[in-house]
Amino acid sequence: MNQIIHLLKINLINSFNINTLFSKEILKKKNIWKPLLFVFIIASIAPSYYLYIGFIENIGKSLLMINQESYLMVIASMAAFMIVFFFGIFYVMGYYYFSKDTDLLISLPIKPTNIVLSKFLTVLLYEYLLLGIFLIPVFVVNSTLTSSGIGYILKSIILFLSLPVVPLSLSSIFVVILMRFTNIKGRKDLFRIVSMFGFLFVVLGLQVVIQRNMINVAPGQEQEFMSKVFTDNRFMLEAAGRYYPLSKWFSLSYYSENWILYFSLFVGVTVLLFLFSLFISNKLYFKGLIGGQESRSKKKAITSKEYSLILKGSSQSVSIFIKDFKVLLRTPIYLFNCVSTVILIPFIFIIMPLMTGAGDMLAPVRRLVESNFNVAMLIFAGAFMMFSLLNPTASTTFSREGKHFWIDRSLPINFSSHIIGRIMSPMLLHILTIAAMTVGVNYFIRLDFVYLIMPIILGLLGGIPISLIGLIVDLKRPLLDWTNPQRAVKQNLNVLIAMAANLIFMIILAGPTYLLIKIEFNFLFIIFIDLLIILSSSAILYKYSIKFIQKKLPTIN
Amino acid sequence: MLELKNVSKTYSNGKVKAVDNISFTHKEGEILGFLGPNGAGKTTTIKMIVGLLKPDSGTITINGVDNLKNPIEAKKSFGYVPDNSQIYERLKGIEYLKFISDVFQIPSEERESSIKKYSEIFDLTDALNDMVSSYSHGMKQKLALISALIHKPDLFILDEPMVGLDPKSSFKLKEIMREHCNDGKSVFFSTHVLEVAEKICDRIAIINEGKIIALGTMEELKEKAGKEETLENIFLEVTDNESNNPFIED
Repeated sequence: MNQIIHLLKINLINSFNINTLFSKEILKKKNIWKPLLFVFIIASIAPSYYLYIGFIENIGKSLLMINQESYLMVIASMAAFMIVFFFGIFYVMGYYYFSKDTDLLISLPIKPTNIVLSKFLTVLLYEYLLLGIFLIPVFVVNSTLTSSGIGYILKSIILFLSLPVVPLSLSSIFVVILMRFTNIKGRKDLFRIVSMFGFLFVVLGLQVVIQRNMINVAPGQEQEFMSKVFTDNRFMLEAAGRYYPLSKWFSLSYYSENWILYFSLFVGVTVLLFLFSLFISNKLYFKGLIGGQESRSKKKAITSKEYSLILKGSSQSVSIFIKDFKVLLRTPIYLFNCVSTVILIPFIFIIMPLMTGAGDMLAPVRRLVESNFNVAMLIFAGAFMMFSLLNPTASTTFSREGKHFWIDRSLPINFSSHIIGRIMSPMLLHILTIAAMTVGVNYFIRLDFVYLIMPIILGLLGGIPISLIGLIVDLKRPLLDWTNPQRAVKQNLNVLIAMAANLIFMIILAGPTYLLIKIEFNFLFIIFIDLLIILSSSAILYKYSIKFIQKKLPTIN
Repeated sequence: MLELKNVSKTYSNGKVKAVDNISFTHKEGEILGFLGPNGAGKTTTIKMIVGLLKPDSGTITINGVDNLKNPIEAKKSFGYVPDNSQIYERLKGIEYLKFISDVFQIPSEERESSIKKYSEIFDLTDALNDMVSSYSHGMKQKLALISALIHKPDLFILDEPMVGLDPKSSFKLKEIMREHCNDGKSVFFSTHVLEVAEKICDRIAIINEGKIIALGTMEELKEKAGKEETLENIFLEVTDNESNNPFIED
């Protein structure tokens, strides 16, 4: 037990940078920006969170009105399962296999079970933080629908603590099996990435099909369905419970007279699955880990023809881009976090609507777009920019370098090449995302491509200041001291700071646009104003970033 | 070639003096060995020279260019090999060398011959098409050496270059260092291996607690010590017994 506590402590210090967080340095005057920054981030997220709480309240009220309040906890637990499961796959991958401290731990006389358990608990703690943000309002709203008091709080704490264990155990089992059996002739990374995306698609697809069948009302039986909803207060809960028994038990722990039975079932299954995942991890983790460290070596000399092909000269900026993009594609953690949206978007916009039939529902959207064409085009452009804002590629560009940053810093690279080279990867991903979104949306809405030219141009150009802001934020305080690449992208505060800063930029861009639309200004002039804001901010930010990198590079320790 | 004037660097908000007001000149065509016990300030000095650390005070000029005022021009003149060569694990050796060639804008015809030459010398030809992640520590060190040499730098800066190298590669490296200087270029390197320093260095600088406490040719050092001694004895004498140090002038 002592070993686990020690390991957990070290993991937490490594993962959350606790030493810096509680150091006396934070109290010094020059570090005053740190707590202020924290307050700024919280303040910029607060309005969205307030809206989220309102949204949960409304769902609770709506369900109460149709006599299905027990369904709230079913939805909440189902959503929690999906969130934990998806994030869990990436976290488990990062903490179990790509964290450099593992190399050291396996050489020490520590029981393998303790290493696995401490890693599982670290990921679990991270999931609690993530889930807490989403679920606390749900538990509060639920208390207004059922009962409140000490009993409710105690029960909720136990259920909350148990909730992520099942999906996280499932993710660990999947990842541990994947890593154990995919070390095929050293091509493990490629195979693992393909398997991971394949698996995610299958799970997403399955989810879509299940939800489509869950509450499937046959034509002509709508009235019967509605009367069931009003007379049977567990109708929706039972419908979902056929596919998700754990969610059903979770909700019935609050809404049944036999709540002890359901509560025990939920907690019992959680414990069993946790033990099972521990058992599987014990059996396979180390074999996968040790096998995973083997790298393929061809030991084959390069031919003269290959030499001239590989060594063809490029400019400094293009060379930085090629290096950056190769590392991005070849590091699974970076690939999942930065590139995966490009792969997921066509799936979300084409395959899912096709499977669910939601594509047909987009017909009214088409009419809406056609009747409010100008506004719709601006919304499209805004949506394109939002995707750039949500992508962490620019805001982690220096952090991802980690211990390799000495290379770029000691080489005679022009400051402009640093900036242009590093902006290319996020911009390429932005272009691909826009292309995927345009094709996906247009598959159903079927707009003339001419209509899409303007939002594409605006959206693309909008990506430049957004990426530059991300890059400047990351250069301000690059997170270079990490042992797990997960930290550089997933647990990097720069991503959040850049998002907050970019939200301000979006407000600066959207504010005048909205006002000009409101006073029915000439549409072309509105576009001109937007372009002016985007291009001038790009120029200012570019100039600033060059000056900033010149000043910053020699001072990074 | 390389000149440090009153260079100082402190850590922990000025509490720890890593480098304390050091000055020396490194001439063209010379191998200058930089010796000192662990934590004496060798790596900090080298990092300041290559632009990875900013000195608190003083100036560093490389080929007449101030490395703070005009860092890019200064960096064009040297090739640097750090003590622990952390190179992108997810790139192939050849891809890394292509990146370096692009940064230094080495002409296409030159880069191939240069890479071939040095990879053959260091026995890395067959591994260049492999990912750096498959390399041993020594192979990574060799790759860093090749990358620092392919643009034919005027100044070759190495921090503990012999660590991790096999005897054959160490021998080859020493040869390359000498040839480099014979071509009128310079080599500045830190080492703990005193025999190597004694054999190949034209001059030796010894740093202790951030201060240069001895600087000169082997003969000059022996003369100052007042007796015929090995570099090892001189090193131990100057770093152990600072109060009776014959090298420190009152």
